[in-house]
Amino acid sequence: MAYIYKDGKVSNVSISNVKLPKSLIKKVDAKTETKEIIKAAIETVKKAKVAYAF
Amino acid sequence: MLFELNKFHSSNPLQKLIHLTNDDRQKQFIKALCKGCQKNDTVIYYLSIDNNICGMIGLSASRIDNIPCLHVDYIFVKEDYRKNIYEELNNKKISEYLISVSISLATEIKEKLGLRWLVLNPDNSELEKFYIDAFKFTKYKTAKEKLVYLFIGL
Repeated sequence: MAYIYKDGKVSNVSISNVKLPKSLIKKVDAKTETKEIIKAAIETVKKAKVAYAF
Repeated sequence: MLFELNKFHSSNPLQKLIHLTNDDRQKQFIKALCKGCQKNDTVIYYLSIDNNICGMIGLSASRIDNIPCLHVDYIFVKEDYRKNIYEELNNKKISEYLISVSISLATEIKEKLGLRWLVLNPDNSELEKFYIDAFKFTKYKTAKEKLVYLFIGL
């Protein structure tokens, strides 16, 4: 569910009906540099001095 | 400083979150997010510093073009805390930390049930640039609604 602000109001937009170009899907799935980003994000969460209360 | 990450689910935490901003637009987003939380559509993870809520991220399971994804419904950082970098957050800003939490959760979920992408809709072009630069999101803009989507393959 995406929230958009239009004409002074926030409304919900379902994202399930969005049709994506096949080339974009391939591009997202094949993007190798995101593997490093994911690794770094996981490291950030592990290294952060944050108490996880759940 | 004590940093704590907690979550709201199956409840409406409006009274705890609405005071974080005086901006009417942001208040409306928070109200919508809290309604979603009450309906179990979204889980709100919030970061507190010394028991003061300073940022939150709303996450939901969704599908886009039949691709299962974790959707970032809304991300918010209280104005006083924006742009600050915290050593306790691995030298990251609160927004970067919260996105990292969503990526980390997504990789955990992916091992348990089908999940392929992380998706978010940036609120403005400045944030869009920040997400693309910091996390290498791939951008797509719908022709009809001109709504921007950002994707990361998990």
